Amino acid sequence: MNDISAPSGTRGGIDTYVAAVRAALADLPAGTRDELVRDLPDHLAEVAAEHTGPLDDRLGPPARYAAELRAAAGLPEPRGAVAAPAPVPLPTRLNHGLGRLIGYETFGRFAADLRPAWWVLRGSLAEVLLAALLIGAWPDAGRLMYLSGPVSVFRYLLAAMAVALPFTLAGVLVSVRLGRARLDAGQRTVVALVGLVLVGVAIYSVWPLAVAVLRRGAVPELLYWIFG
Amino acid sequence: MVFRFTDYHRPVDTSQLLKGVLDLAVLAVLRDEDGYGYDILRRLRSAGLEEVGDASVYGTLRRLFQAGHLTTYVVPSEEGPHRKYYALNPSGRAQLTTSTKVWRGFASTMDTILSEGASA
Repeated sequence: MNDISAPSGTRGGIDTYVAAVRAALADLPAGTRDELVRDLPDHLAEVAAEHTGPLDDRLGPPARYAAELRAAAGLPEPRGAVAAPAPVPLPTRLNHGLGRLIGYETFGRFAADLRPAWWVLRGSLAEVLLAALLIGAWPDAGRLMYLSGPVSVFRYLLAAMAVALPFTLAGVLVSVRLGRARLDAGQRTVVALVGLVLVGVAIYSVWPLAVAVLRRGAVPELLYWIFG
Repeated sequence: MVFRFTDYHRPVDTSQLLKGVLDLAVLAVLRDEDGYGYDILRRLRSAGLEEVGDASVYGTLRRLFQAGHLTTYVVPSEEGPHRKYYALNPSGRAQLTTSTKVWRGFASTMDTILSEGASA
């Protein structure tokens, strides 16, 4: 849970946030501003220790934080020049816009929720691939195309999944452990690349089968078998 | 963990109600035990005030301090940051007592209005 490798929880990210809050309070006398901001670095450090992801996701943009802070402190709102909000960069806008589409404050939050699912998928793929290499159990996509229709393909895949289950479980455990570990940037890059390779191999293996199933107009037949 | 900023699908917005009583809430959580900023925030959240914003709590602490209801002291620490602790002083305790009475009276009045409104 306490993955402190998220960039915005670092000293640099905290300093950036603090500087932005100070900037939003620029119209206040220096002493007042210093007082308001004095506890902020420690506060942000606590927040960063408890939550992964950018500080903005947890606390909102610095300008809004500053506005809320001064309002709660009983200080007057800034007049005139500070009225127009700074233009929001496109990645941030996308992050918020896409997120709202699916009922999340930001898309980043949704992605964070999906991480465990990715860990499970990654582990399963890894173990299925390993099992295939070791026991030659990986279904030959070419051979599968000669099976008599989608029903037997579906049953075959289910059977294969059942056999692979203990291996898959082992892979998932390793994958989740990796996902929750504190890795440095280099290690994370390696893990991400391995994940990409796994997904690539999986797609490559299944692609001919998927094409074959679709080409034979097999999907309606399959649905009939399931629901009919 | 409570992610208040991302509770996008929260059905009831209590933040407006909270603005008026945050002073009282902060004074109340300091009644039995002093606390530092983030600690106070955590107490409020775990007591059920999940909507309360970080900035609001810190700003309120400053305002209460300016009003002379709180004292502060720093607790040095070898590992981790030195923490600034807030404590109620006699003025703060008096304010807590008064505000509590006002709150109880107001809550009772609202209950009356609500129940009479429902039956009207």
